[in-house]
Amino acid sequence: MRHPGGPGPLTGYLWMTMRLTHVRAAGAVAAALLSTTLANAQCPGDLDASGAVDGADLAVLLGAWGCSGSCPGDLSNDGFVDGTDLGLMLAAWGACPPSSPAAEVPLAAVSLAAWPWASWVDTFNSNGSVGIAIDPAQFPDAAGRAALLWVIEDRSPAEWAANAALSDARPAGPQSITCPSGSLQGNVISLNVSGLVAGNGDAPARGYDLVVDLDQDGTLSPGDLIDGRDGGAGFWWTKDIAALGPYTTAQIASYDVNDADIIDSMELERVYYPINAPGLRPIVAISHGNGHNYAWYDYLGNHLASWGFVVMSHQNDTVPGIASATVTTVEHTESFIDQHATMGGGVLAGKVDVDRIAWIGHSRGGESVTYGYDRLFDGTFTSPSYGLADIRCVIAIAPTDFLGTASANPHAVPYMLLYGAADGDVCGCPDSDIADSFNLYERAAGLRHSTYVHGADHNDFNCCGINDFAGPTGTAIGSTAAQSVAKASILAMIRRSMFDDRAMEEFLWRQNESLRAIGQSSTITVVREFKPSPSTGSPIDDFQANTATTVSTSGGAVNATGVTNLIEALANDANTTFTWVTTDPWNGSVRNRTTDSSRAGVFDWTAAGSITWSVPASLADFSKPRALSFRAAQGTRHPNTTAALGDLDLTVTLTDTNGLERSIRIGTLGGGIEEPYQRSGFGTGAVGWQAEFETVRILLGDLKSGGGTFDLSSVATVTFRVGGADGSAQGRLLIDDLILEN
Amino acid sequence: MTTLLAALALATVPPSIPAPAPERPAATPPTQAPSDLAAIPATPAAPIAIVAVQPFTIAQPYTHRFRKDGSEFATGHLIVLRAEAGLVQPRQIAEPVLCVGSQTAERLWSDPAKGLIVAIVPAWTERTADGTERSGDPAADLVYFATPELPERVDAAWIAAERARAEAALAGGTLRKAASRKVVRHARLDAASQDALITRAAELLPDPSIR
Repeated sequence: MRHPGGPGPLTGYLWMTMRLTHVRAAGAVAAALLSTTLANAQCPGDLDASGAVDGADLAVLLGAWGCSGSCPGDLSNDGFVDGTDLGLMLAAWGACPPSSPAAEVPLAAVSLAAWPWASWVDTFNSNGSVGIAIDPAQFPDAAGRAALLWVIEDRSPAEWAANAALSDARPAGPQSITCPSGSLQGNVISLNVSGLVAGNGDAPARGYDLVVDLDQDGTLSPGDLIDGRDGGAGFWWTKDIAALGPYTTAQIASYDVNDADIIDSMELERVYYPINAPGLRPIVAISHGNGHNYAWYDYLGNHLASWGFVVMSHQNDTVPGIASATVTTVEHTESFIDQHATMGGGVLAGKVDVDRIAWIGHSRGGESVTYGYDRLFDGTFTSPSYGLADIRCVIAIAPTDFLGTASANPHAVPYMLLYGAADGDVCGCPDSDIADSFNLYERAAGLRHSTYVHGADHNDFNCCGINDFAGPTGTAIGSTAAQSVAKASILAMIRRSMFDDRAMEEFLWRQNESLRAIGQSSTITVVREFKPSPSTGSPIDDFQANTATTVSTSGGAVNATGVTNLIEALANDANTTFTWVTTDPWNGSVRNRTTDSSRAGVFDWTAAGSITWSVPASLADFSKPRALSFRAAQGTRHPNTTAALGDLDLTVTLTDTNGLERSIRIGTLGGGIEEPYQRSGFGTGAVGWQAEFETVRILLGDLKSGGGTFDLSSVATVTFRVGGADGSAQGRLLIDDLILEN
Repeated sequence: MTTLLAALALATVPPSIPAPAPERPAATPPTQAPSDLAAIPATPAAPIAIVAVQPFTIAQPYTHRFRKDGSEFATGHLIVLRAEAGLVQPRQIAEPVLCVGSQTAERLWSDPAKGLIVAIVPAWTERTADGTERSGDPAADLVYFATPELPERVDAAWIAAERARAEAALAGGTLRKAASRKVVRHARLDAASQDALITRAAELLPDPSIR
């Protein structure tokens, strides 16, 4: 199972406890002893877990005879080892019955065109299908066998413990399948999804558990396979998150908060809310940009309201500057909380969750929501109505960076950047840090996500701003398409941040080629970055410490072979053009000011080569983390980038301590590292724009495909192989955040 | 039933991820579409013309937010200017700071299509050649667009330096004073509040961003 939000996996039918126990052993020795209890939970009496109740177990029981407290052999669990326990043991004498419970395994998957042939993801769009990948090598007992495939409404671990009966959610009932034998290649089974319901109230996705009922007895029984018992769901069946949600919405078109802390000319708000949505509804506040208008975000207000949020868009005092705009952001939030019960004749009274707030800001407003959070963080703004912990996420659409490192700083709040590659205003230009939105993103120290949209300009994300498109002719996607991306990604981010919605998380990190909202055109290029909270990951190399190229952050050796110009440093384009020159190795990386601190690595190649990270022993167990992830971007206008345009591919290889390898081509997961947007300006010759970092997340469970003796629990090295047979023939790559994610 | 379902399953294609497209040779750089957002002209720059001026008083003073050292004001002028698009269009990066004499103006809104901008200029004083002071007059004093910056970050020293640059440009012939021959001078407005003042400004030039 791959659901970090749920409880950890069951330990199986065996468990071992080691404890220091005070016992009074009958007639014997110890007042205190170190006891090891090894028991078979499915076969009481099998005290040494040998698979049988026999003389060895009897010896253990008799050795503890008379013991009181926590004792081995206390089969009745009454605190004593006595005749009752002996009777139970004798009754169970002999071989234990088959007791292996159903195995919790990943089943839902998408098929891949190359090894590992499947990726066991969780989120599926309801206009598509669900693959069922039963790896014959990992589950040889199932290979070639007929089975019933059940789809069950998601049950909690407790519900599964209480009810093992299977009940299919589909009108046609369970599906007859034959588990593949041989290889998984070409053998991913298509789930019959007819009749499955997507969405669950406010949640765009509905969870289902999957059972491969090998004995076809209609119950979850030993030997069966299950995906979704131990927390989370086996898979999520998802509505179109770019489309309106389940609630009808209404609007308070214009409301004057008349707040003494807000200048008179900036007191208006527009409110969007769901009608008849039960319970308390979280708040989303929208801060517009300069020359924009609070009424320009109907598309976003209506969308989020239809998914159950109360959305307030306010006048934003952007013209004087960011400090002024920040005052309107934080004060309007306070005014809305204080006054919502009386707005619109009281339609919101008792319906607003004032402890869950998301801030969205556009351009200067994007910086004002970021600075607003910084002011709450620093304590330079306090409110009796809300505090730092109530701001659950901050979303900036093409924000400016006037204030720089110290103030335009999201700290550890979940942070999202939405940005168009054809932005003609906050352009990501190399001659001014103010126009470099990624600066703010790089400062975000908590969970963070970026959605970078080719062909979208600055004002595509509102209704009515000037056409500022700056990009190749014919690549403009227009506001309708851009807003479909915005609606989906913003909803996913807010739900992930506020409700730990793991179904939505996959829309934040899977390659756009692999998963996108149903309503989003497949022709739009979207580049995604995702980094979980540092508390849930362990960096192998994030380039922030141990700054020599031969040593990783985690202290392991780094060995580069056949690649050239490897350096690591502050990833900051140091001149004012995008023309490639060797003196500016971070060309295109307009993601830092000189006062910022986001470092990365960069290298290039024209022949086969590799970079190998030695994995410290403390991180060597890859069997428990969920994923190995990194981010990378093609080097802007570098000759190796422009020599052949396209998504850049490479191979990631894990080598275990026995020297066995597992390799995966990242292109298999959906496209590789995105081709730079072919925008010109700030230089001559080749074209290409700012560095487009893209996250690649390799699910470590996928690497078990095909079985074998590769030891995922003892990984010695991670290698990026480039060139030759391993990927693109040449390239230049910025790399960062090689992380084990739990 | 189960046979039928098995057949259904076989007939459905499992979800899959397409293989990446092959790389291709770099072609001639594609033609770039021009942005409708005009470039910012060099500064100091002057408006083309002063279109309208209206002095006002306001019963409830408020703080001038368009300079770091701004204070409360109760008198000033509403002005309407015509200028080239690059000076008028709102943008997110720094805009040329609109100054009148030694004062910054509060940009209210603009109509880029018409090249018009409406602003509030709090009252200020000018020192004459004989050392006396007089009230500033937007129709007579130098109106100029200074270096792009956030107005809330500029102060008197910054404004003085920018004014000196503008006057030097004027003297050197690289800056021409805005035409004011056809300026419409409206009678003084005695406004009760900022809201009333802005309502009047909208009568001079409607806010095109209001739908």
